[in-house]
Amino acid sequence: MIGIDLVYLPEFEARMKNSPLEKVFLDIELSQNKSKESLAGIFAAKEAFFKAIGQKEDWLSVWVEKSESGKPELKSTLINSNQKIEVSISHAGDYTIAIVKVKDEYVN
Amino acid sequence: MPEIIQLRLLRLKMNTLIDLFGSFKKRNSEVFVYRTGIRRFTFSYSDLYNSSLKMAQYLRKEGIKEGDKVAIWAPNSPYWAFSYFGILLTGAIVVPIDFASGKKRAETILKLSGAKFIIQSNYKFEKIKLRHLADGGIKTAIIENLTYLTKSVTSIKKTPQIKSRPKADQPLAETDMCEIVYTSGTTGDPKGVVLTHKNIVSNILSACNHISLPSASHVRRGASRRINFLSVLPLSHMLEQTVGFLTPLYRGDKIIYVRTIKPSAIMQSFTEENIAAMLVVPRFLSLLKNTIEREFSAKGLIGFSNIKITRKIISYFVHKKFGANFQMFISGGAALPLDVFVFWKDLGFKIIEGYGLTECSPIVSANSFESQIPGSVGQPLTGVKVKLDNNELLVKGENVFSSYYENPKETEQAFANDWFRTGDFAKLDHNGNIFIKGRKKDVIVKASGINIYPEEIEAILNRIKDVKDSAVLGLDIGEGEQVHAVLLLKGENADPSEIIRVANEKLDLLSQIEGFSVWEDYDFPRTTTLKIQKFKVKEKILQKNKEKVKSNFEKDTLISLLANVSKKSEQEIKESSLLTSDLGLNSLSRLELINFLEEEYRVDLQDSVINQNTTVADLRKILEKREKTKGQRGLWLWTNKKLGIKVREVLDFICHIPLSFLFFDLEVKGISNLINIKKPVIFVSNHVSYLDQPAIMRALPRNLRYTTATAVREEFFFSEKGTSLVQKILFPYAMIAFNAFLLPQKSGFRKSLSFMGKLIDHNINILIFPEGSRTKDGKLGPFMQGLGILVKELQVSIVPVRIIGMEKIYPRGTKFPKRGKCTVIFGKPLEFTTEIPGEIVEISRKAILNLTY
Repeated sequence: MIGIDLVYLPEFEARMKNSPLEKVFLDIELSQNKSKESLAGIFAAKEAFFKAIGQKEDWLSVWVEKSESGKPELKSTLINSNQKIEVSISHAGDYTIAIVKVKDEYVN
Repeated sequence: MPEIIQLRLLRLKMNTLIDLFGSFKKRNSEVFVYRTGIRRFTFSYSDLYNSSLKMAQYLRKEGIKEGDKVAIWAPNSPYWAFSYFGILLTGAIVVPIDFASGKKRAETILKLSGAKFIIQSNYKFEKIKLRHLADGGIKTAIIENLTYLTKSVTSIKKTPQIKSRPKADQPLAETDMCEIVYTSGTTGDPKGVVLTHKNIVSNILSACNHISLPSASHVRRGASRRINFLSVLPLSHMLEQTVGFLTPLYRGDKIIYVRTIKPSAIMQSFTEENIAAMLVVPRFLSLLKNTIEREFSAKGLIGFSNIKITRKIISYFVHKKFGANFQMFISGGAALPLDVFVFWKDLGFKIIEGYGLTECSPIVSANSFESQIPGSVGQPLTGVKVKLDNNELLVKGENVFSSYYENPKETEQAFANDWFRTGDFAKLDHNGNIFIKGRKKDVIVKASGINIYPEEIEAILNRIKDVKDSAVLGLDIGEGEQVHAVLLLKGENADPSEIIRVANEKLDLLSQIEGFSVWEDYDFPRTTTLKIQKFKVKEKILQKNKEKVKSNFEKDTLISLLANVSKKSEQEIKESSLLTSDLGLNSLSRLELINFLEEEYRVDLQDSVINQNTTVADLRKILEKREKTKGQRGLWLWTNKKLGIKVREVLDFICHIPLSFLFFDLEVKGISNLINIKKPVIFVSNHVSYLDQPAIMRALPRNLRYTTATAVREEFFFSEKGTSLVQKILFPYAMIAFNAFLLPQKSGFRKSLSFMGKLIDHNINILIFPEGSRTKDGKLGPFMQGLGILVKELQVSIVPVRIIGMEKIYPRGTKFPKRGKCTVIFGKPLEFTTEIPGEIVEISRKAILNLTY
């Protein structure tokens, strides 16, 4: 299962100004990411994840954590513990793109 | 000497806010409740005392000295209060910044005030970055991290003796600067109102006397005189700060803060926290009025206000929503429309309207608890003198500021022979009641209480190519004034909406242009000195608007909101239009729309209510019905109360424990780790069989056993294969007998999470099996990632638990258990602070693996 999402930064910025951040991002995401670019990346990753699982759910049911090396990891309460999510986020100018893959890892 | 007014209740002599602070030490009642949506945290006056001292020491360590300026740019919370007093205790000056304003305005205020430190929030899109500069630079701290930042800090030893450092020209100690509050200025840059301890303290004291909050006769006999305030207006404004923060603190009241100002969060607080008073701006009351009218007209009760009985019924239901203790709204910031006042009065609600300005710390006059005069802002407070000069209201008193920070020009213009010019026209009746009649200055007062100077916006507009000139006015559209720009364009090809977009990008979030029109004549009407005659421009625009409204029948709120978000014209939007494909709403614009709808209709909405097939008509239906999102099943709180506990004790005694002896012998290790444990905690265990839960419960000491609830996967009872026997009998039995609750794997996690928050608030522990299912090979499987989020949000310790031997007694796939020996090992509690959720999951998992014989 894969999903992809592209975010146009100026639009993201303009719309998010009118929406409380805590509706879309968990505390951990807000404290680890201080720039609007990285928040846009997380937004794209969440949207891509919903596409991958084929349903729209609560924005807070999926989140990005950054390891010490800074590599983002997508986690969710919506998957089984034997499933694994892979995510890749990229920025270029006014655009941010994320691609997400959900796979079963621990199949017997 | 300043007059010292003693409040009998406290017998507190207060000259400065430091005196007020000193009184917190000896009080043991609750001062703050902080509702995060998941947890409900409470703080006592001594917590406030100690946390502020710690905060002061933290700031000292960061290099803050007496006389430095420290900005707070954060939403209301107890941490705002700790920061506020922390700053004052170092002898520094507070510079509050409206959390609703953008980064640019925050930067401007930092520059103007020369602040060296800013306390900001994670919940802001763009933050101020740490700067090291030759001229000092700026340091920052995130308010949400203050608990961790100040954890190891020892309290400050010496509080500043403001009295001991008198200035030569101002012998009174309490004239020392307390804070600088920035308000809009005419030149574009905000003006910093300098308020002293004396200014603020005098306003608190006279406010207490004047409004005369519920005295003994209003409070039921034996009940406390203390009342509960709900605080939602920004603490950066003097209205909330003096009336909703400092005055309650002086009186010994309790203040309730909510992390998200969602409509449902506010309404829940009313009933759950026994709220008695709330400060509001008129817009809040008029939005709520619209909602009530909409709801009752949907039920066919239109025209209710004429019939006494229906009015009584409606009044009953509305009062129920506000809880039994609700006493009054205190309204300020902008003029309260008379029809709104009358509406609430007819429903039996008290609205106390007041009048004030930041420059007056802020209250000048107010109605009182005993009497409210419709249309009037009441009488001046004790010690506040008012007079009229050519109909303009002038004020004098200890509450009145003395200067704008480093701005002698504006300061001079603000005063006339020691009297502060409010810039408002007023009338006084024979009893001395003040009626505000209009404004001398051009300032636009929005319904949210924000003041905007048109000059600030015009300057930006006039710099845009294609704009010849512009006039910015406040148009009253029934709910306070809207910022309306009238453009005089240069070329014919100019695109006015593009011009507005560009201007709004440059403007602060608080002063955005909300409507515009193009001036079609050759020039604006002007005076002989070539100043634009705005009242003439306004007249014409209003005239035009009237015609437009007539041709459109009635303005449709939903359609205009949709037009605003989708950037389509109102004519293009039909009832059958699909929101996604026809109006082009994507996930981002949907979020924005949902937010506007929540504010306008005062409902909670999930943006997933809009899908590919949702039409405008569907959305309208959802809003009209005010459909509540479905509750989550399997979350019963009563099983954790007395009756539930009794039932379990009996069942355990006669059935479960004797039965368990048939199947296993139990060995318990690490019980010493549970002695002196700080309840409540989360027990996290590996999962090997269906008998794990009963074994752990038997292993737990009695005091923990009956106050621990167990999370069970929803799929366990409600899978597709599930029979009705399981769902109708086994499920409720498990809920009661084993104190289980459902933790859904798919959607609904947040609802379970807030239920767990309630359990923790009620001092109930939680047992979780984070593998999600029983082991297949005896090894510890991977953990569900939600565990990390759970610990972060609940903010409690984890006790790792390992169960060994049960996998042989009742392994996966067997029908009946086989008798044997089982061991339950309890580990040392794990406390988490700044760990990320992933680390929490890994640390807990390792802790369980490390538990061996």
